[in-house]
Amino acid sequence: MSTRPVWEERPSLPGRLAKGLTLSFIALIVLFPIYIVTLTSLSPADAVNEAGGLVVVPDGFSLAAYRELFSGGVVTQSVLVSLGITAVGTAVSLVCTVLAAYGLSRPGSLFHRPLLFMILLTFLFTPGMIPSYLLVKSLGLIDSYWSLILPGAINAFNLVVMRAFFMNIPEEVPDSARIDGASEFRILTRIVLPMSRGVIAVIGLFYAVGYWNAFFNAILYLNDNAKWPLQLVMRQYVQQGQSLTLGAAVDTSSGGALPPNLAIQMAIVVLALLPVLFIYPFVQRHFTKGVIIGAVKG
Amino acid sequence: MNNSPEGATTSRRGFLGLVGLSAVAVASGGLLAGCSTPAGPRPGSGGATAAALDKLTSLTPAHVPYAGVTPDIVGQNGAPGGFTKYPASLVDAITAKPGKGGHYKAMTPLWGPLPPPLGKNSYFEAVNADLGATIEFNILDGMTIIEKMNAVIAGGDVVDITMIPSWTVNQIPQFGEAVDQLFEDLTPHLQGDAVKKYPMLANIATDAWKWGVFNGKLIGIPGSYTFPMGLILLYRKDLFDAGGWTAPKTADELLALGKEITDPKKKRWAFGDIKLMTYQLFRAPKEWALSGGKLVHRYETPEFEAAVAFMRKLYEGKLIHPDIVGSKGANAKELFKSGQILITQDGFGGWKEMLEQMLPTKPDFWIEGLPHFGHDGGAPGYHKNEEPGQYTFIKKGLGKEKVEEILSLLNYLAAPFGTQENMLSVYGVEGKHYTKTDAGAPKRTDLGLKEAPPTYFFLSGRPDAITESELPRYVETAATWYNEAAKHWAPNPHEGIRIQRPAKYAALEQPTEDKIQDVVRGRRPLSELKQVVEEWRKDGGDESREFYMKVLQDNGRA
Repeated sequence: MSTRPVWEERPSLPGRLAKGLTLSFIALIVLFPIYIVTLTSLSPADAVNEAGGLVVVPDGFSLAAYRELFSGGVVTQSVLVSLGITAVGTAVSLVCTVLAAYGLSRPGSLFHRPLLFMILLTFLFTPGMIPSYLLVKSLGLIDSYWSLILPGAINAFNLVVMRAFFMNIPEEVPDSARIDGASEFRILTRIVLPMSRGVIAVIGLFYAVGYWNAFFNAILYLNDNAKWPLQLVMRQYVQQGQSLTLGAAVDTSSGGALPPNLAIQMAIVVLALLPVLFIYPFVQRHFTKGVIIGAVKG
Repeated sequence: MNNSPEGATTSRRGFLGLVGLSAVAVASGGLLAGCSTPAGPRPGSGGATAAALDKLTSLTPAHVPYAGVTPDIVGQNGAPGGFTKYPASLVDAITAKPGKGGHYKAMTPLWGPLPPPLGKNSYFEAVNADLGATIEFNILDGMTIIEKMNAVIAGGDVVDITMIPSWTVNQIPQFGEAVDQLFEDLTPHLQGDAVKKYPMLANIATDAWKWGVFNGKLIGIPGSYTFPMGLILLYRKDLFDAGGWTAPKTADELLALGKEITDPKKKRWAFGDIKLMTYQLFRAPKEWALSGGKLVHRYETPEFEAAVAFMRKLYEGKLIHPDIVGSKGANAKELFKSGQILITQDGFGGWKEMLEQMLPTKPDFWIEGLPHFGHDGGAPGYHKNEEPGQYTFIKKGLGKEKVEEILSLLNYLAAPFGTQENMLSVYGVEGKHYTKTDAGAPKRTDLGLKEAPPTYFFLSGRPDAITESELPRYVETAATWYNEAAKHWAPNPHEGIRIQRPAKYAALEQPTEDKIQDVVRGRRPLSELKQVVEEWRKDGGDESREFYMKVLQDNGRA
């Protein structure tokens, strides 16, 4: 007789089938929107008109939407801006978060309790839009890329997760390094960080996805259109032609540019999805570990 | 000098006073300010908020209609004129260069893809060269303009020229106070005959200019004005002809037609969401009606009740497209274009927009505004958009010389259809941004589509016209349709009066509309409509009535 508890028994065939079907169904729910968005972006204008919206059944193939997107220079520029902000922002955020989390994870560090309290407070109270704007303005950051990075450089949730991970490292490890004469900075860079690759990858991913997807700060703080990130440029494409349905009485009878068809809108959605889609698999193996640490320690 | 009209005294404070709350508001100003509803100014913040239409005329510029261009179908009763053929030669309306070499930043919203910026955009360069000055655009995301303008106004960060849609103006808290501090008072430059220095601005109707008056000063330059139809009913004329259906003349006919058309097996439904137009077919007031010396709200009228009952029948009969029924964000335009919906409610601009989109690939596609009818075979009561669509403001403190230069630039950009200035600022350079069709109408090139979205066009106002002469059949149908529509405006006792809606009243609207929607969609019995209206009255409707009555009294209309 097996001594394994019941939940560790080899599942029955029907059980496995049911599980497989459920998981396949969930996967389909996730994949289907991606499928129709990609398909619509690759469909010719006629097919989109015929379908009366998103294309579900393939009807012709056309790269016109993608050609159209990259021909004006605006989208290309915004992709570069987004990549730059994501790279620099993630680096800045990781450095700040690692330094803060390490400091706050050492029980004896100066003011660590009041500092932690202040950081945790931001979970409960977020600054309003106008105060944030006034702060960014008074720092002289309006129209600067830094306005997209500095206000959210440290995310309290990420900091707490990382601090929990650092606290999990036995105190004996840094202590032994101290005996060997290592400075705190050396302990952090040579001992703690190499032991924390998983959490850094996960938090880095959180930050990177956050920076890549962010658009609202750009709406508020950037007036110069050449500095707009991809997500904001994307919004402009996707919402084209909606002024009238909004009931806005703004007159658009200037014979202005025709709305791009749905294909272009979907092409830009695909474009915005791609980087995240590509990066995720590489960081995935660290993911569970990092998230669990955040869940059980605080 | 105090230009504030005598009648402009009904304010939020007045409203609070009316409901016996003003003492509380004054005593706890800070507290109330901290937790007031987001829309509208703080209670007790004072300031004139109900401008008296009848006393504004002295502030507005003289109206000198521009006679250089005449439409083929003349607009009547305030309807826009129509040009069935493109003017053979364009009028050179402004001979001297308006600019003096200045460089100005301009903020305008855009509901579409960004054009390449100045320096990489040949359209901007061409227009700026003709202007004799540089206008550099900071384009705003149209969908979030309220958030952005809230921040910009709070931070006092306005640029030299700022265009703000009127619905945004009305949703920015304390705009009435900020407008004085941030934007130039144009009264000395434009009042009365002074405007004659800027003949294209003088061509804008006086009714539009009245809305540009804030706090007794002429501050905003009104944008387009002559498309007062907010929403219209569009129908698929091509499919009607093919199906042998004729346009209805009564609500009963509309219902019967809907049943005949709807055939889910053929993926064909009669209607999209046509609720707001149904109110107008039943002649329910836009907001308030004056009846026997008393104000009656739309919700309280039998016409409204009948309209709700009618809409309910459409839902019960499953005559509305299931995507519209099921999701708030269903794209009615796409469903209408693909023939899954045959009658829909859309903006007037949607008419030509859809024709332009569909005709190149589907030459048989044809839509029209549904011929005018009231529910009983009489006339409809259309809800008029009185306020201009947008305002342009000039930053305060730039100095007389710069303000005059900007006004000259805006005068140039106000040149109407049929002038060279309008053609260049809307379409760009011939051969580069547009080519001419055989009929002489401009057709945008790929470069034009990319580089020249509505930007300069948004910076100034002009009497608009129906100008798509490349579609003469559309121009003729639409202009004739509009001339007829303009005979059927629903009376509005508050016409032309700028009123800041009391926060309590504004906050009441959405919950009430949600309840009404429940009745319309059959989630609540029709008999509960009376209860919904009763709740509305109790929760602030009756208080608002007093406020709106006082507005009328202040303006000598009651």
